[in-house]
Amino acid sequence: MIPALAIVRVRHPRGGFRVWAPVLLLWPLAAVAALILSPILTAYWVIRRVNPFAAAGALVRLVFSLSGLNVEVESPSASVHVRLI
Amino acid sequence: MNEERRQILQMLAEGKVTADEAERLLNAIEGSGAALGASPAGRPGGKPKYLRVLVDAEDHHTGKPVKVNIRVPVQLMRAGVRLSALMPTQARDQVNKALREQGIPVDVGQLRPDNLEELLDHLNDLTVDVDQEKAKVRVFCESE
Repeated sequence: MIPALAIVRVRHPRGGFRVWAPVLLLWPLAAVAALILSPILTAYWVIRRVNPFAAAGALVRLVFSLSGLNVEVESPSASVHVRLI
Repeated sequence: MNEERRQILQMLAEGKVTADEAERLLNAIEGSGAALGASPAGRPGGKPKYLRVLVDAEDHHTGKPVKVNIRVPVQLMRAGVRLSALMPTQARDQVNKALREQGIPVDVGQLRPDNLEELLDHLNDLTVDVDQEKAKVRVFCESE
């Protein structure tokens, strides 16, 4: 499933922040950008001898499988938590 | 009490896992046991959904604890492997060279979805534990 929300939490001794970003809203913009850039990308992949359809499919699959990713790093000086839902 | 449950309780008693981790592992075992009957392949543990990497280490300079907790969807790994298969030869060579320089003699060109599935099948059945004096690393698959 395509990620709908990104939660980013950063804490350090001087403060920190927490962001809940509705990335779902970005995907339509990304789709339009991909459509505009598709001739350039296709030309690049053809020059690099990569099947453009396979490359585009792999990229789309990558985006669709990002949901559920969770990265949490805690150290005494700072902590970072990134979660895609 | 089966062998897996006994091992988890022993790890908890030895302080290798926290109570929360032990509970999650026990739940995973119960879930896999229930799914075993329903699974057409009859594979123990069901399909892994996430790869978990837990690192408990100490900061080199301060000696204070550093924790890393990563959960990667298996689907993302599959997509990554498929993407790496499309990598141009020149880029692949550069990646291989960089890996060799880091002491990791892996040929990225040999990474294929079939190999990943095989690896995940094996990881589903076992947990990789690395215990060192100042660092503890655990790699395992989660069904949920």
